Amino acid sequence: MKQNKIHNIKETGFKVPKDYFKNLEDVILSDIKLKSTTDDSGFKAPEDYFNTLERKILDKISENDNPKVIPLFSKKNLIYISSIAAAVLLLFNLSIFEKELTWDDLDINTVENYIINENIGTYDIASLLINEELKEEDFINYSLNDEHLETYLMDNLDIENLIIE
Amino acid sequence: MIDEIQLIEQLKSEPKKEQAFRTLITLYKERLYWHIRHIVKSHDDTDDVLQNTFIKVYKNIHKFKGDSKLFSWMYRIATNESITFINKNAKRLQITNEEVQQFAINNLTSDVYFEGDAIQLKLQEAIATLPEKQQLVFNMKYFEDIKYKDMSEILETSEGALKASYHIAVKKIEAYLTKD
Repeated sequence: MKQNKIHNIKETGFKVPKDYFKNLEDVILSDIKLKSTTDDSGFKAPEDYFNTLERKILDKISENDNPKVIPLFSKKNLIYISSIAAAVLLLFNLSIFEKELTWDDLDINTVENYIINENIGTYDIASLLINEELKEEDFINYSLNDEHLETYLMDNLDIENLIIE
Repeated sequence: MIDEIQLIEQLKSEPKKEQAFRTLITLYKERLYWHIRHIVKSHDDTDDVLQNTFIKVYKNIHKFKGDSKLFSWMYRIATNESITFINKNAKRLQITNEEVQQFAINNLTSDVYFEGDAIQLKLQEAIATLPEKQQLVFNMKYFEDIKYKDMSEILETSEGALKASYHIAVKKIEAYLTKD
């Protein structure tokens, strides 16, 4: 039984990334080709640079170990702090945090009441409209079909009237 | 070769700190120098960044937890310091990072510490055209011969992604070199 199970395993389970073999020639060749041109960057370090480096760095560290003491309430700091405080105060006074109103914030009732209470007549409203914005089509509906027109005339007009006229 | 764990212990203990630190500099100065040099290009800038790197190591050694190798921790500091240096320069001169690099490459011809021939100069130009991460990977693999495993710790990127980056970089550089 155990023997059989082993015989049944045909795959090793190992996988290669997609396109690995397809690109392998390219990958190896371009690397070799580039290395054959040069594998040195051409950068040089000054002579003795590395010999003196430890000394230089350790000197710098011991310099940094005794930092300068800067008093907290120096004149310079006071000016800084008071100017920051002034700026913050100014910021709140300018009320830039208040939300700006837009036309959408008005509800219809308010507008309606306003028009009624302020005695705004049709002429006032009409004067707000620009000629270019107005078209005849805004007021007259042309979508009458012949059948409706005919019925209307038949029902509402009699021939006598037309003749009189 | 001094045991890394022992060295870290000495670095964290006050009486032996300075001596241990001197050993640390001696051990890593050249490797870190070349790592930084390949990023910032000029010797003087490299000197500044290298010194800052070691000073940072000295000041922050108590924060080193040991969850990565000391070597990769220091490389990570050096890489960050170099990139910060380039960013600062870009900000100061009000140009992009790429322009800073281009500037550094243009200065190579007059640099007394660059003895490269025309091909090496062209190689540097080609590297400068790559995105930052690909430049890092390329320099670390090509010139510094750092293993992908270590690089993965330093750059905090998977080995697979690093290999892919490197091969893309090689292809781009080759294309640049054979362009005309």
